[in-house]
Order: sequence, then structure tokens, then C-alpha cells
Amino acid sequence: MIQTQTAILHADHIHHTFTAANGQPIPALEDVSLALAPGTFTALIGPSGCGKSTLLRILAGLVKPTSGQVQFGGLALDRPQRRISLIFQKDNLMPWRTVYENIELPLQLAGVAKTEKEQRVAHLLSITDLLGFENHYPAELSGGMAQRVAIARGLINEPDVLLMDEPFGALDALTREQMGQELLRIWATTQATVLMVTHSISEAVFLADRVLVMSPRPGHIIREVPIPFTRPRGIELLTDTTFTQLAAQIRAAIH
Amino acid sequence: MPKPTVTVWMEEGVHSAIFAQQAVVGVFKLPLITYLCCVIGLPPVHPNVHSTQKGRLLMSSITSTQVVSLSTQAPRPLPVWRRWLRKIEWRLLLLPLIGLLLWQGWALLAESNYYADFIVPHPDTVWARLEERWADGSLVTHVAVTLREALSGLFIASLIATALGYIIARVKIFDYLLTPYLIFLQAIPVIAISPLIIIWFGSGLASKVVIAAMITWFPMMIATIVGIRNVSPNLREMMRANAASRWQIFRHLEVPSAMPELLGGLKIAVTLSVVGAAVGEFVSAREGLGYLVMYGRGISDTPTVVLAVLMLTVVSLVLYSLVAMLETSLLSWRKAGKP
Repeated sequence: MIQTQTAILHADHIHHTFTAANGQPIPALEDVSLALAPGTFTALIGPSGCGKSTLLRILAGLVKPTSGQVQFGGLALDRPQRRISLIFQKDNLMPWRTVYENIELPLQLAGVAKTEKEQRVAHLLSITDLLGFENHYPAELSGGMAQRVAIARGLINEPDVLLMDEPFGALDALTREQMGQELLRIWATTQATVLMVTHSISEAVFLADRVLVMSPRPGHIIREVPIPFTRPRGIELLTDTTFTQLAAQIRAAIH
Repeated sequence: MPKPTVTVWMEEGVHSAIFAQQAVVGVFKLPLITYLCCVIGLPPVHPNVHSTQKGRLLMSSITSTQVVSLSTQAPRPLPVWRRWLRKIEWRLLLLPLIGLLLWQGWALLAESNYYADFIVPHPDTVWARLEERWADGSLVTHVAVTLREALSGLFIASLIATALGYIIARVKIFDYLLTPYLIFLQAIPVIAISPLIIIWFGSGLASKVVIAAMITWFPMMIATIVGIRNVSPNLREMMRANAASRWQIFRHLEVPSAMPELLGGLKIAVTLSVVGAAVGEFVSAREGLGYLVMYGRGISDTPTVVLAVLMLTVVSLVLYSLVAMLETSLLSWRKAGKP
């Protein structure tokens, strides 16, 4: 376990309970503690409805947990921060804004000066391979491109922490593999700490430094699997024996 | 002997594709050639081999497999002159034809002497009235008065209705408390209450503005409520995650997101505002197109009545077209991604 003192984002004994429409309390998260060390890539995996997305929303400061505390940079997190960026499963682009304007949005909200905005958007357009599409509207993009725009928007503030909720969930399998590799390439150019929720075991093992496995609802972390592969990682890793073993280990932990 | 069956399975995942298949047809989209298609017979792999490894084997065989067929090139873009032809409003070419037909039909009906002149006046007489009233400037005055009443009413109604609609859409308690009374207000027939409005606000501009506002606020309010309620909760969450303030959410999310509904409401309200102004002028006024209708009726000059009605129609049409143009320019993004 990573020492909580060095962690940039740290969740301490989080419990969360929903109230269903009929008034029944539904426990979603049960005693979840985790710590993210700066610059690391963590994947969070678990069965559907185990509270992964809720945990991510709590870590982003969007949802207040029923009990427990989240600390960001040593301070209690009580509302969303610009230093924490959340990327959703759906691209959540504004259909009335062009690619450029969508990527620019967080800078606009933060009141960044025009010339700096232009520089940073141009930089992200190039690392997400979207140059030439800045004046297109989201409706004109493929799913993979729209998700790249969402990732560019998530990175534009140069966040310390990047939380991703199944960012490739809506993509087809081939685009997904490609996007995973691109994400690693983009991530290498930033110093962001990443926590990514995913359904795909091989995606988790391929991308992350460690994989956290959650139990079915009420969710808690049942397993922590460190991933030893060095970076940069190539697609050939997918056929590596250690890779297959790690994937099998995680698969066994989930079921 | 069982009939041999061929199963075609569409699959995006390489792993699941080869898990069950004997042959895989790969279809790829490439930048220059639209589609590249190749058939790969699966290498005989032991069924116990892990699917991931099978996938790698397959991927390597794809690169070495020869291309079986190449589809045609991407459709050529339309030449410039054809794109221009598409932009022309062909409907407008019909307009002179239809206008001429209507005018001639009307003239024929008037000339048939089947109806008395004061029932169906000749279009030439109406045209003569137009020329007279254009020459002495009274036509412009009447149009300007009605336009001013209608637009002032619409403006005031829009301010009140969008503010009300917004809080009703966003704050449950306001919806619960206010909505019944607002519907009660709307249930009062504006035409029936207009004499009272004249008694209360006099026969000048104010009473017409009030009537125009009373007739237009409801569609504007409903449009606002629907527009604000339709704002995507996902986009709201995205804005909140970006630490957006309430004002920023309003300015950058709610307003542009509700714009289609707001403009839809404005389209209805803008023509209704002319109705409101005319109704007020019917009851009591000294100028305006509604007054002109009543004046023409009073002196049994049907051509003036027809002229006033036509002018009211033109005013409505022009106002509607302005909103439609505003819509085209503000909502141009809605055309994106559609052929």
C-alpha cells in the first residue's frame, strides 16, 4: 500500500448509501480506502453496479460520501477542484460548440487569457491527433474522435489528478485498443496521476501500474494487483505470458 | 444429411471474432481507399489456446494476407455549381406565380359583379387605398404604431416569462406554488378582458402593450421551462466537475442548450404579439392597423379593411422571418453531421 503521506488523492474509510425511489437505503460503497501516489496510473475494476462510478464522483468532489473523508493535496475535498479532472464514459461534449470551443471550455471557466488558451488548445489538438478538426462540431465526429476531444478537454487544465470513468466504454473494441495506446502516449507527456475505472481486464493490466479490484455491491476493494511491466508498453505485451497470468489472476478475483 | 449452414457474425472484437469462427472477413477503413476487405482463413489453433494469443496470431496473419477485393473510391464531392443550385430557395420562384394567380382570381371574382363592391372590393381599389395612404404617410404611421405596441409587449413578456420559466424549471417549490396561478392567468381569455385593460390603462400605448404581453408570455414561459428542463444532466455534471459557478452554468450551458426551445417559443410569440396589439386597437385606439380595420368598417370602406388586414399579415410575416433568420444563424450547429 502506498503511504498516505505521499499520496496526492487519498480516500479514507468511505461509506456511501443511496436512497432508492421507494425510500429503501441501498449501500453502494463500504469502507473504501485508497491512496493515489503522484504520477501513477491506477485502474479500478469490478462488476457492473459495484459503485465504481460513485466512488469516482466522490473522489472528484461531486458527491459527498455518507461517511469518510477524501483528501486532496492534504486538504479535505468538499467540492470539485480544477486540479482534478473527470472524464466520463460518454464524451459529454456540447453539441453547439466546435471541437476547439469544447476543448477550450475549462480554460474559459477558469478565466485564462486568450493567447494562453490558444497555445494550450493547439498543443492538445496536436497530441490528441485532432489537428484539422478544430472547427468541426461533435455531430461530425466518430465516437473515437469525440472521446479524444473529451480527453483533450480533460487534460487542458493540466490537472494533477485525472479520474476516468470507463472513458472507452462507448467505443468499439478495435478503436478501444488504439485509444488505450494513445492514452499512454498522451499520459507520458503529462505528470498527471490517473485513476481509471474500466470493465476490461486486459485494458486495466495493459495501462495501469496497479489494478484495484472491487467486490459487487456494496463495493469495497478486495484485491490490489501491482503491474510490473516497464513503460513504454507496446501492443505485443498483450501476448506476454506474465500479462496473461496477471489477467487471469484479476479475472479470478472478480468472479 | 443436415443442410450445411453458413453463419455470418458481425463482430467488432478481434478476440470474440476468432473465438467461434472458421474464417474471418476483415473490413478496414483506410484514409484513401474507402474500404479494404480481406478474407482470412483461421490458422488451425488448438481450442485451448488462450483467445488473446489466438488474436495475436490472427493479427499477424492479417498483415500477410493478400487483399481480396478493393471497393470503389469515396463518392466525389458535388461540383460547385450544383452546390449553389442546392442553396437556391426554389419555393420563392413560385411566389410571383401564386401571387399573380391569387390577384387575378380575386379580380375576376370582383368583376363578376356577383358580390357587391363593399363585400368583395376590386384589388385595384385596395391598391389605390395603399397608394393614397402611402402618399400621405398614414400607412407608415399605422404600421409603426402597431409594430411598437407588439414589440414592446413581446419584450416585456419575454423578460418576465423567461425569468419565471427559469425559476419554475429550476426550483421545485416555485413550480408547486406558482404554476396553478399562472395557468389561471393564462385561462383568462385575453380578447374578453381587453376592454377592462383599456379601462385600466387608457386607450394609448400602455394598454396595447399590456394586451400584447398577456397574449405572448405563456408560450415564452412554457418554452423556457421545457428548454431548461431539457438541459442534459450529464453536461450539468461535467460543468460542476469543472468547478463552474452558477452563473457560468447559466451562461455557457443553460442558455445555449435551451436556445432551440426559446427560439421556437419566440416564433409563436412574435406572431401572437401582433394579434395582441390589433385586439387592443379594436377595442379603443386612435391609430394603428387594428384601428384602421375598425375605421374602414365604420365608414363602410371595405378596401381599407382589406388593406389593413393585409398589412397586419405582412408585419407578422416579417417579424416571423426575422426570428427564423435568427434561428438559422444561432442554431447553425444543428445542421452539422447531417447530409
